Amino acid sequence: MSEWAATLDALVRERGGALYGYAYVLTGDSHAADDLLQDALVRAFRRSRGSMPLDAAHAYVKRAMQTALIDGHRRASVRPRSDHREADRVEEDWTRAQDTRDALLEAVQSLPPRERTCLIMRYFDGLNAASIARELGLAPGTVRRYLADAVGTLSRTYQDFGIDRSDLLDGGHDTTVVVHTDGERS
Amino acid sequence: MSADLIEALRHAQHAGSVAFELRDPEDAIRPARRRVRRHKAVVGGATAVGAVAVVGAAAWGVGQLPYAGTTMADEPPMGGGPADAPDATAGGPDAEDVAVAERMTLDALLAQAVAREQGDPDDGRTAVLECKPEDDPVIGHDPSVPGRAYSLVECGTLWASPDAHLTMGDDTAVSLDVVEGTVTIRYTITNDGTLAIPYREAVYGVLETDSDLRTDDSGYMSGLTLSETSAWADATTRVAVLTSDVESAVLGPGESITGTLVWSGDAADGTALGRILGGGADFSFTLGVRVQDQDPTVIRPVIIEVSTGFEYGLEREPS
Repeated sequence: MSEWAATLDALVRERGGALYGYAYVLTGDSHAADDLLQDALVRAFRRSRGSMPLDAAHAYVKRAMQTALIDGHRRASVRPRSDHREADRVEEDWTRAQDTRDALLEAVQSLPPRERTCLIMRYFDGLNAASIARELGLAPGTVRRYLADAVGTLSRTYQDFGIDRSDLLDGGHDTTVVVHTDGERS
Repeated sequence: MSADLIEALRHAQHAGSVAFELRDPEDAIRPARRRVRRHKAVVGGATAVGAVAVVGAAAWGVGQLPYAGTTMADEPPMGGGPADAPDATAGGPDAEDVAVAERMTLDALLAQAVAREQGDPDDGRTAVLECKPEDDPVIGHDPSVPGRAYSLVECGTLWASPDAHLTMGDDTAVSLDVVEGTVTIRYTITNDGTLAIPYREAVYGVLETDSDLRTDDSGYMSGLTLSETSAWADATTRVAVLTSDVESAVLGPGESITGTLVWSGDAADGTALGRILGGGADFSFTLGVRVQDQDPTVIRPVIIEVSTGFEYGLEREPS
């Protein structure tokens, strides 16, 4: 087995649950999460030639999921996703949701991919806007706008869920990720 | 703080993680590994395909073009390798000869393109693949990889301007040698449109045993050839081969490209090519020509697909 294949194998066996879980957070759908994880694995390994530390591979696949989702990942035409314009509707009966958690997840999944990805990176990964921007190759101002738009949409269509706007835009931690040409990160 | 939101996201991650742990990881590993193999540049690792090594051989009779195939297999089968690849062109894609003809641009080619779906009848329109620029090895080429890099990528399918129409010549010949284990296609591709078509190096071939079947199983690629049960990943996505080369030439109206593509394998290997060689499957083939934009710095992989519309296979005794 080649080194990249061995790394892929080990990564899925040891970290597959965490990666799939992250894909599920991003997509909110098991089939879509399967597709997203597959696409991310291909993106991450197709140009990798050698072995890669699992932590690096994990981070690389995770980033590939974020960018794949933002790119509007290509299998969307195969399995229709929820209409992102749904975010424009007013959810009048959200209180019927079984609990706040379900309502929150539904609300997050209704966001357009860019806003959704930034929001998840902000609150699930705990990154600040500058770090998200670096990870996604976007301008910090763009990320801040996506975050603000996301929370604006949530507030308009569902409720604000207690999200603190100052924390949204200025909170989170900083991280620096270097992506090497062979796909390894440090 | 947004404790509720964080809690909801973590709960979803946990639920997904638990669901995955209950599954066989091979279900995720196997398709990913297969797709990565198809995507990977393989020039430096041809031996990896082992018993199903395939030789890609395509050549043009023009000085400015390097030999376009690669010596991927241990030995060139049937004399179909580089030395024997036909080098004549009918008219010959000579840049000076076609300088007077207006050149096709990618914008013009795709100006009125419409989506093409699997199963659409070929009614004379130009079948085109549009691939992602970031998948082009010209961009992603790693200079530390020896030789030229090839990638198999999945591209969107379109019907494009008929002004860029390429057709397969009547003298295109398909032969199948069971003893040698080879399928050879000597092709002529003619520009029967009204515009000169700049193209970038690669003419590649895909053999399919069941082009109506959506699957990426059993695909083997080496050099500029590929054998698959089907090159359709889904109804609007098809596999293409991209090379890292940037050499380009121009095919004027009425001019032709000729070349040879050779697939070699083993009837016993159970792949699509093996079934063809064993007489268990008929096949169709498609050739692809990558169009170069007028601006040579533009990397935008767009491929015109050319096929005969026929199926081929071993003659069988009437039952």
